[in-house]
Amino acid sequence: MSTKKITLLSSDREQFIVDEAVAIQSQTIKNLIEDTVPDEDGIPLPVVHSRILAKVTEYLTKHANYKPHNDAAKEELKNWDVKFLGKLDNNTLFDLILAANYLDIKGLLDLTCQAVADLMKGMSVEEVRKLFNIENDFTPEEEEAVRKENQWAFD
Amino acid sequence: MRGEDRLSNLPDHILHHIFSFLPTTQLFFTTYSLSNKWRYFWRTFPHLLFNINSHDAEAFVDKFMSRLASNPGPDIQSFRLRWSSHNYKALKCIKKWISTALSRNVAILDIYLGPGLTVFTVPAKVFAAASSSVKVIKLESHFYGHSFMLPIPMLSSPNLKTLELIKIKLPKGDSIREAILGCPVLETLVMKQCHYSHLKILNLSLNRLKELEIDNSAERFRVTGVGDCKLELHAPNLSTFVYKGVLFNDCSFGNLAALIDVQLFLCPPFVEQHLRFLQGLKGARAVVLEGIEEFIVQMREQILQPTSGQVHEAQLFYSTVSGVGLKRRRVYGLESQQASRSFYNVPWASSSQRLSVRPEDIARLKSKLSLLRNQLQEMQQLKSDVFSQLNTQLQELEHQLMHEHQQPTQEQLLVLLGFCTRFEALSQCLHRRDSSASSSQSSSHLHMVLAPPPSPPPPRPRG
Repeated sequence: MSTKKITLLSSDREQFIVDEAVAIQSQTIKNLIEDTVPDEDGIPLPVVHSRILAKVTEYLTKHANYKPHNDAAKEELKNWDVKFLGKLDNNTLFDLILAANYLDIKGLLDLTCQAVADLMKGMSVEEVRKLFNIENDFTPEEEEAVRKENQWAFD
Repeated sequence: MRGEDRLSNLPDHILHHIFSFLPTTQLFFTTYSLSNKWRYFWRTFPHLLFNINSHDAEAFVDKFMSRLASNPGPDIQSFRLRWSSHNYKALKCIKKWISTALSRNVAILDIYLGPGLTVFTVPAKVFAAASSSVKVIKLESHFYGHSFMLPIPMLSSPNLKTLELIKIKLPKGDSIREAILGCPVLETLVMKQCHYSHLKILNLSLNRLKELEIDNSAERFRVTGVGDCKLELHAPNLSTFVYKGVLFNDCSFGNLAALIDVQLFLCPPFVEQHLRFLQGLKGARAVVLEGIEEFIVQMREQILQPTSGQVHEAQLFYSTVSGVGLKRRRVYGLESQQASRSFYNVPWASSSQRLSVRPEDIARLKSKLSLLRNQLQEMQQLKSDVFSQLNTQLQELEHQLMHEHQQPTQEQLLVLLGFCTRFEALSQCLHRRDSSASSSQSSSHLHMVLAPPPSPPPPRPRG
């Protein structure tokens, strides 16, 4: 089995050394490996901070070549994912979404997006505002207009 | 102090991704009044998911879809509907909603209809090239065969790539009770517990088809489902064929040159159809039989009878599970001649229960896997989808056995044994094809790799 190592370089120039099989789960990294001459220090990922890249590599290492097709293995991996998410604060969660999007890691993007969706499940408008720090920037007039234009949903 | 509003600052396509996991009705009510950024965002949702379980829910969706219809907006990627309300007078709504989705170039239609007796006729325009961009259709009814009526144009839908039908009655194409499914670009077809007894012939003429799964395993099939329907399959690009349960009254297979992987889960008692079915698959490179052990043994004996003649160019492999689905008492892993014949006796356990497998058996499994690993590396140049799939499965099994210092579960062991059988079937067939590419066709004699029927295992007390 190939055990070629790949060095990834975070935005704050911290090095992460991982197996190639781990790294290329990211389509972006895969393309970078194929298309570019590597930097001496590693493959630069200028938009991913080391704090987030550590999380990303933790996820990728667990998921490397591990696509379960039976229920027991699925269950185990799911439990791992739940624990992985459980350790994240909301800010890190959003950073991970952006990193997964930039690095093109479908599994991680699905997982983190689902996590945000789960946070919103069953919430009222006020609760959503509070959870995500969304500022109500409507003027009283706008607020009234919004109420009117959506009155159809309550009729 | 107010923190940063991370949600609102996400790019729209990520927001849509997040929202694809939530029911559209809730999303509407929690987003439109959040802030200016969110005011009209609901009009751009590309993924619509509605659960209709009350009159109110249905009334809202109707108004929502009307709003979408009257405001121009971006394409809808998916429209998913779970209908479990009993208000079936309102089924006509669905037609209207589908029309709206079609007008927004919807690509995926996924509709489930819960219990009820009213029939919903899927509009023909869903299946027409001029009016439909739908590439993926999934239809499921709660009751077998009764909730959907499919129009005849469905049978030749020009854009459809994936079709999944669960408990659906297929339309009959003409007066002789023949349905010809001939969608020109269809690649994946799944038919589970579908209803065929109104047909004399089900003809699948699908030039682009790659994956076919027919699951006739529902219990009541024994009485009604298949009737006297005959299956005719013409799928020159078919590579994976999964068949479960009751056989059609008769089967005829055309050119199956691309068929590499056949997984059959057949039901006893052994009948003439089984033999004809297997004979029809003789073009396939590997056939894996799975089923209740006694039945597989019986089938093997029938196939091996001299009168059956040359049943298979392909090699036939099998793995058996005793009393599958009823009483999982033992697992027999029967391996081909190349590997050391081994026999695992696994005591009854629930599928997730850890088993007490002796360390030497684990060691044997591990060395077996590394043997397969070597074989797989040799075959990497063959670059086939099937092999990348095998590679993935192998890595998973290795992971389970090597990286966890614990006993495997019954289910893991089942998967492993099934995997070994399937892997060897495929690898040997491909090796044989390579090495015998120049040899004459007449050498395609009946070649089966079958382990003998298992003898009772010695008791293995543990501890």
